[in-house]
Formats: sequence, C-alpha cells, structure tokens
Amino acid sequence: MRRNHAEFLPTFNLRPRGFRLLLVASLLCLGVVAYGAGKSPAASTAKQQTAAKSASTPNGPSPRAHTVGNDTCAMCHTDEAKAMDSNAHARLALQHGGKGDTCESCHSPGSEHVDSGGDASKIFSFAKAKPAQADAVCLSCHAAAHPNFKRTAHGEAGVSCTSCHSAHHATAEQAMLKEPQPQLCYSCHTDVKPAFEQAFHHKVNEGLMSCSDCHDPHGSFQRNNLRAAADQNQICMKCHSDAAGPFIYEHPPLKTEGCTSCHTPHGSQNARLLTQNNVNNLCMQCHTASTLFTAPGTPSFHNQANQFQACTVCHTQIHGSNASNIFFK
Amino acid sequence: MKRSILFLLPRITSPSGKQVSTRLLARTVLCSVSVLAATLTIASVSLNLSAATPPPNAPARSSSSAISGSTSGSGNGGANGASPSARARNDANRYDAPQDPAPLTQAEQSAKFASEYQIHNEIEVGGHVAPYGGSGETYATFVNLHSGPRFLSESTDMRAVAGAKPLLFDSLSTNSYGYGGDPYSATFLTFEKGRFYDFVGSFRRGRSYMDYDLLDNPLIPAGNGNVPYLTSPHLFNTVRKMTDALLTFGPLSPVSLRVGFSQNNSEGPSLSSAHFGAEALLNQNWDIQTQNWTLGLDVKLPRRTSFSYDHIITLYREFTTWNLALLNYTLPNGTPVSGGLDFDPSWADPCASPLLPGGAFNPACNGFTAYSRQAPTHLFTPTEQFRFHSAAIPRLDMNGRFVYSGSTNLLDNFNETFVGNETRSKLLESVDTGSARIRRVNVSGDYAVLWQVAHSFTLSNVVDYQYWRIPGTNSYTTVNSTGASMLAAPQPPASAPAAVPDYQWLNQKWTSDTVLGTWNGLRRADLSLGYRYRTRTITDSGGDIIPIHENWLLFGSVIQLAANWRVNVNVDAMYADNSFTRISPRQTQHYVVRSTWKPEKWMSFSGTVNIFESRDNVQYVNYLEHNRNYSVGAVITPAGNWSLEANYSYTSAYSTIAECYTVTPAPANPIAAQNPACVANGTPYQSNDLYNVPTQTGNIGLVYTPWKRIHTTAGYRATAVNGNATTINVRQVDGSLQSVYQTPYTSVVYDLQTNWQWRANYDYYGYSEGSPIGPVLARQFHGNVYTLSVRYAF
Repeated sequence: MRRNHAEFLPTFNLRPRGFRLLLVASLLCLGVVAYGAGKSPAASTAKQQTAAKSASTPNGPSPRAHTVGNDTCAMCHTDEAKAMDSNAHARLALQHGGKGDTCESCHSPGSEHVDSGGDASKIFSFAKAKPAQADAVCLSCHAAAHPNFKRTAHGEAGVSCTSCHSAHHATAEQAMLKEPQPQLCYSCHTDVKPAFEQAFHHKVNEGLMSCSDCHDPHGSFQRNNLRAAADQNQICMKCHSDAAGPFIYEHPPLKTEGCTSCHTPHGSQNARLLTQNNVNNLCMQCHTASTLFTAPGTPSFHNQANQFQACTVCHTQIHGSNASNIFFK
Repeated sequence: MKRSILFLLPRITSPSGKQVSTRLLARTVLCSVSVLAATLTIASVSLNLSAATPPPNAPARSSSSAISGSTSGSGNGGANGASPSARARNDANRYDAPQDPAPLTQAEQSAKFASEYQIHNEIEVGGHVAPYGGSGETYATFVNLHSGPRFLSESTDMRAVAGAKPLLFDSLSTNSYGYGGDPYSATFLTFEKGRFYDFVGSFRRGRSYMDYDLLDNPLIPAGNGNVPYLTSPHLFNTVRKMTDALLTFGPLSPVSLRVGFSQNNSEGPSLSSAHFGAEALLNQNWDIQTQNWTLGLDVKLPRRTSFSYDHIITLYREFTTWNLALLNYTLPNGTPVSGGLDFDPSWADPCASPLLPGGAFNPACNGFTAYSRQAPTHLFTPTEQFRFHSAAIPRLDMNGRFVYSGSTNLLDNFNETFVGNETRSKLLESVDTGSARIRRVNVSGDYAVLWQVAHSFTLSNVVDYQYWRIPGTNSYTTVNSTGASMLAAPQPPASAPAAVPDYQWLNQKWTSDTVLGTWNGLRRADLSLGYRYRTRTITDSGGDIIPIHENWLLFGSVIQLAANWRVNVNVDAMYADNSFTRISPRQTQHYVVRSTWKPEKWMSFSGTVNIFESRDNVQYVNYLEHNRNYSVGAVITPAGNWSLEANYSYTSAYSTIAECYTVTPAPANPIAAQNPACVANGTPYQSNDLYNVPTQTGNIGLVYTPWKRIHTTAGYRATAVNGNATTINVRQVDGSLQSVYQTPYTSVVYDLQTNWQWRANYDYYGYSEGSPIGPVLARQFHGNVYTLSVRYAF
C-alpha cells in the first residue's frame, strides 16, 4: 500500500541517464547562449526597427528614412486606401484618431520611397520578403499570441504569416484569412482534404467545425499543432466529454496512447470513425493473449461464431466506467 | 433581459439624437446576439434595412460585390472616394457640432444611424425539396437533409465609418446558417470596440444520426423457433450544442483581461442493448453538459516580454439514463416481457424453447420484465495555467507554460435494476447501488528556446513534461434474488450483501527534449536536423510499471525551386525500446513531401506525398501498418468569368497483426496459434487480421459567369473504396470496404435586380456498396436535394 501511495506523488527525477545528460547539455547550452547573448550587440526591439533590419537587403529603406503618414500613401495606393476601413489593422487607427497601426507600421518608414518617386526597393514589401522576414514584422506585435509559431511545422516549412493572412485582400473577416477554412488549409494539405470526403467524417466541410477547432496553426506544445482541452486532456474531449473521465476503471490506451489508437478523426470507413471497419478486429488487435502486454486476451468463451457480433454490444462503456471493470455499465 | 438593458441605456447616453441612435444600436446588438432565434434575427435585419437603405443617388452595388460580402458601396459610398483625412474632417464636423435640441424625426434618426456605420446585410430564405430512394436509414446517416422551408443564411456586418464615435462597438459581424430543420446550424458573432474590448462568440448545433445497420443478425435461419432481425435496432440520434464566447477587455493594452465561457450539451435518444442472458433493447437518453469558465490576464511588459495567467473552471454533469425500450412478448400471466432482440435456440438465446404453446413467452427463458440504470455524475475541474514569452535577450526567443489541473469526479447514486431471468446464474432480480469518487491530477510544463546562433543558423530546444495520475475509489452493493422462473417468487440472498469497495489508479509520466538546428545559408534551401528523446512511464494499480524510451531523428528541408515554387521535405524516424499496446509502434517512419507552385497569381498547383510506416514487429505480434497518400490539387481563378478547382487523391491504409481467437466449429483452413499464451488462454486459432483499404478521391468544381446577371457552379465529388479485411466473426457487420460515394452538384444564381438574387441548387448524394460487406444486404441510397431560395443583400 505504501508503494501505491508513493505512485501518487509527483516526482521530478529525470530518468534514464540519457535523458538527464541531454537535459544537462541543454542547460549548458542555454548558459552559453545567455553568456553569448550578453556580449552580442543589442538587437532591435521595436517593430519598426525590426522592419528596418531588412534595409540591408534591397527590400526596405535605410535607417535614415522617416514616416510620411497614411495620407501620403493613399495618394498613390488608392485601392489599398479605399479598403482601409475594412482592414483590421488600419481600421483601428482610423477610429481612434490615427493611433494604431497604419501603412508604415508594417511597411517601414516611407520617406525614401516617396522621395524616390515610388522606388519599390525603398519600402518593405511582404511579397518580396523571405518568409522569416515577413514573419518578423508580424511577430513584432503578435509574438505574445503566437509564441510557438517559429517552431511549428508551418514556421519551419517557410509558410509565413502572409501565406494564410492578408491585410489588404482578406476574404474571411475572422483573422484576415485569405480564404475561409477549410479551403485555406486544403490548398496545401491536399492529403487531408480527401479524408473529409469519406463517407464518415467530422463535419468540417459542412461548416459545423473548422480545422482550427482542433489544430492551432500557429503552433502548440502538442504534436501536429493540436490544441488541448482545458484540463490538458486531448482536444477530442472538449466535445466528447463523456469519454474524458476520469474513470475509476480507465481503458488505459485511451489516456496513454490517445484517441487515435482506435479512431481516425478526419474520416473513416467505419461509422464511428474507427481505424478498422469492424470493431471486433480492432479490439482483438490488442486483446490477444500475450506475455509481453498487459491487455488481457479475449477469453475463450468469446466464441467468434456465436450470436454476439460486436464487442461493444456488451462492453458498452468502452471509454471507461465507474461501475464495471469490464466496461459493461 | 433585453428590456432591462434597453431601459438602462438612456442613463449612459447623451440626450437627443445621440441617444436614439444608441438605442437603435443596442437593439441591433441585442437582436444580433439573439440571432439564434430566427425571428429576432429577422427583426434585426428589418431594423437595419429601414435604417440603412442607400439614398437614391448612391452608386449601385455590383453583383460581384454583393456576392463576396464586400462592404464597399453601401449608403456611404459617396464618402469612400475622399481621403481618410477629409473623411475624418467631415465626420468630425458632423458629430462635434452642438446638439440640436429639437427631437429628430424617424428618418433623421435612421440617417444618423446609417451615417455612423457602413452596414452590409444579407438574408437568404428558401427551402429544400429532397426526395430520396434506397435505404432511408443510410440516407439519414449520411445526409439527413429533408424537405421543408429553411432560413438558409443571414449575415450582418456593421463597421463604424472613419471618425465616427459610436458608443457600443466599432464593428459587428454576425452570420448564421442552417436554421429551420437542417442537421447542422450555426451562428457566429463578433463585435469590438477598438482598444476597449472585443468579443468572439459562436453557437453551433449538430445532429448526429447513425442508423447504419451495424447490429443486424440476419444469419440466424428463420423458422424452428428462430427469429432473426434483419435491420439493426441500434440507433443514435443525438444533438450536440456548442456555445463559445470570449470577451477580452483592453486587447491592445499592456494589461488585458479575458473572460471566456463555453458550453457543450449532448442530448437525445439512442437505442442500445444490454445483455442479461438475452439482449434487451434499451432506450438510452443522453443528457450531458460541460461548461468551461475562463478568467485570463495578459500582461505585456517592455522588451517584448509577456505573461499570461488563466484560471479555468470546468463543470461536467451527466444524467444519461437507460430504460427498456421494447417489451415484445407477454408471460403466461400477462406480464409484458422482453425476450431479447433475436431468437437463436441453437445458442440458447434466449433459451431452447422461447415460446410456449399459445404464444406466451416461456418464463424459464432468459428475459427482461424491467430494467433501468442511472449514473448521475458530476465533475469539477479547476485548472491554473501560467504562460510566458520573452524575446528580451538579444537573439533569444523563449516561451513556456505551466499547467496544474485537478479534477474530482463524483458518482453519488449509481443504480442498476434488473428484473427478469438470467438462467445461467438463476438471477431473477438484481439491484446494484453504489458510489464512486475519482481524481485526475495533471501537472505539465513546457519550455522552448530559440537561439539565433548566427545569421543563417538557429538552434531550438523544447522540453516537455507531463505527469498525470488518476486514482479512484468506489463502493458497490449488489443484491441478487434468485429463482428458476420469472413467475416464481424471487428468493433473497441468505445474508445481507456487504458493500464491495475497490481502489484503482493509472499514472503516466512523460518527458521529452527536442533539439533542432536550422540552417538557411543556401539561397534556395533551408535545412534542419534534429533529435528528440522522449521517455514515459506508465504505472497502474495492477502492479504494472512500463517504461518506454523513444529516440527520434528529425529532418526537414524547404527548397525554393523558384520564386513561386516551394517544396517541403520532412522525414521523422522513431525507435522505441518498448510499447504499451500491441499496436503502439516501436518504429515509425514518416515521410512528407509537399509542393506548392504558383506560376501566376491566379493559378496554384499543389501536391503531397505523405507516407507513414509503423511497426511493432516483436514475436507473436508482427504489427505492420502503413498509411500512404498521394494527392494533387489545382486552383485556377483567372480574372475572367470562370474559375476551376480540381483534386485527386489516392490513399492506401493497410495493417496486419497476429490475432488469436476461438471459434466453434473450427474454420475451414485453420491456422494454429503460434503463441503458447494464446493456446493457454483457450484461443487456439490465429489470424493475420489483414486490413487493406485503397481509397481514391476526386473532385472538380467549376464556377462560371456566362453573363453579368447569371452565375453558375457545377462540380463532382467522388470517393471510391476497394478494399478487403479479414472476417473472423461471420455475423460481424462491417463498415463497407467496397463502396462508392458520389456527390455531384450544380447551382444557378440570377441577379433579379439590385440587391435581389434568385438561387437554385441541386445536390445529388449517391452511396452504394458492393460485396463482400458482411452478412447484411448492401447499403445504398440516392438522394436529390433541390434548394430554391431568394437572397436579399445590401
């Protein structure tokens, strides 16, 4: 019994040795980083300075450039100016006396661009910028909201903020998306789109759900940019809360391996989005007698030719139960 | 509530016209909030229509902008051509002038309201005509669109014009669809007041209907006392309602406050079954509600550093009940009884001779005269979350979070009552009562740092830690009364049964460290290489201690073949020294190649090769799985009067694993189980459980505007599956692996006149299954859904 209670205590000893060594190495690395950072010249902090960093490239003005104001920009960029009140960035400035983000907040000071008669190389252009450069401008304001972005599959794959968002030509009001979900996501994830066209699927194409209900495209600490439920359960539990528990009799793989051990969430040939087309085969994948695994084997009285077709006819509470250790009730 | 808020408004607004305008605004907001009710939405629309009808000399909105939902060209179209500063001056003059003491007329109020906002509104009403053939149950499972009038869609978009000083909000946007009987309906609402607050909310409602014949038992031969059931009595017909709301105060301020609420209700009936010798049909009435309350604080400090704290309360309650749904026979004394769903005397189901001469049910058989179950459950989960992000140290970007969550799940009054006869244990009555208390404690922390080592080289390190434990106790008392016949008096147990307590737990500790270096020194390529080590330990009350150590190799590359052509290559490979289940992989390889090519701004081609290989190839398991996808897509949207989209995908899902089972009589060509544990367990036969599902999916869609007032779309979508799987239980009803699901569609939109459109949509849904699909007949249906509607937009 003492051992049992000891299991409840959150211990922080890091095992095995390999992991401990790795962590120590990481901490040493961080120490070196901190030391090196202290010696390095101060980097820019303000967003306009960030944009000005691009001055070393042809895409942007020199540090000597200064701002000229929205009205000056509007003299030439009439289409963009007309859409300023539908632009989530500029609209705020227009409503509050010019206090807020305007053209030069993102495109860098425009005096040299104006003085040169519109030399495109004298202003920061998102279209010409490398993804990392464009992201740096956006994240100079939005980093707190999307701190994981640089380390996401999107950030690492060169999918920049402007790949999905458009300040001037958004078609979806929410988050200034270039296209509404899920079409926007499908434009790259061509392998995911067919899953939602299978006979059984989560209702994403029908508009009841969106990709971002489960995934955070700006990154998370979970795999596949998955979100988590409020109590750090799997995101599936946000809606399927009856399967969340906690139960006194847990079906352990549900909690340790995840819902995707048995379900394919995007779409399936099974009405319950199972990974197999019938539930018996799925259950027996694990519930076959073995000396290596803890899952009990299918008992001998479960004759596969008798009248019971599906394991879940009797084992109804298969996600977990508070009354039956074999999930009957 | 609505009345009381309106009553308060005069106290906080200035007199005269401003007040009237604000009250109009308030009504609009309230109507939009309560857009869940279509009548209120229509009232809101009516109000806006009267307030914002463009003046006669205003430029007419083009049909294309009406379709796209653009807000330009409304009643304020004349001001749009002016420069922002001029517009601001005009607006300032308009609103800073002394108030006219004379009350405004209705027309002046409306004009003033309209002058504060650009308003775009659209409403579409119509209906479906939806004849279908084939299996109605399958049609309802897949499509569930039926004939009748519909409130198809509504949207309102209000944006304050430059320089206006509206009191409540600067912009408001709401849209709804699907009300009036469609299976899916939703309303989305956002409004904001610049620096002061913003609100995002939604209500979604989805009906989940499933009657897919997954529990037929047609192989029971009819006659000789046998009663097969040819269509599945199981049914699932629940409704899920999801409400989400988030209000943020000071979204742009150094300190902002978030208040969030979400609610998820799942309710409705389903038909399931319970087994006490016979299988009785149950009416399972779902009643589940989850609420999340969030209070969050965000603090933005200088030097690009921020902290966030969230306090989240989750409340869950479940009052689902189970009761007998079918009493299909009577005992000789006239008492209604359920003899079970099927009669198969060869399996003594419910017994060798279920019916007595004269047709009464044999009281000595398995059967139910009463059954009920209640398990009211309450869950309380407070969660504390702390997050931070900082780029204050030059060339270093770090963020992290810490989460603590502790759930308490209480089941106070479990009750299951069975009255009938379970012949195996001579059980005539069973009353099971008890309670349970379960905890779930979760502690997790994540820390990530990104170091810009050099101009073209970055190094990142992510450490994740999670530890959760689920201890629980319960105590149940079971009172069983026995006898040989449902007509006999139940004999109570010889001694009072004692409560039986139990104590269980399940724990998992999980840590990982990921190091990734990225080099972007090449002109056309970025390369990244990384390593992840992950360890987890699973323990449970059965004494199991299962450590698993994983090593990952991560590779990524971004290749810019041209300015408009990007190719991404990612390879992840994992090796683990142990696995928790037989299908948990010890080795995985994941190869992903994505390419996007945009030769023109209006033309885009994309393709993906996504190959996932997974193995747990230890002795007697030999689990092998792959999921390979090859897909391409194209979007062509030239500036002319047409656009085209097309996709094709081939997916191969495949798995095999050694399984042991028992069956009587023996199969035709039995494979003896190789694992001695299988033989010892009484499961002497082995199957490789093949699951092979090649799936092809294709779609093509065309949008064409033959002339100015007519817009058309047409397209075709199809998914074809041609797979096979091992069938161990011949009575098992499969989901089909031989099926074609196709949904062609077309629509015509005709611009009747300014602001008015007539729309006609046609959608065809066709599903057919081939063989083999198991013992049931092939499921098939074809449905034609015609939708006619009128749309008004301004």
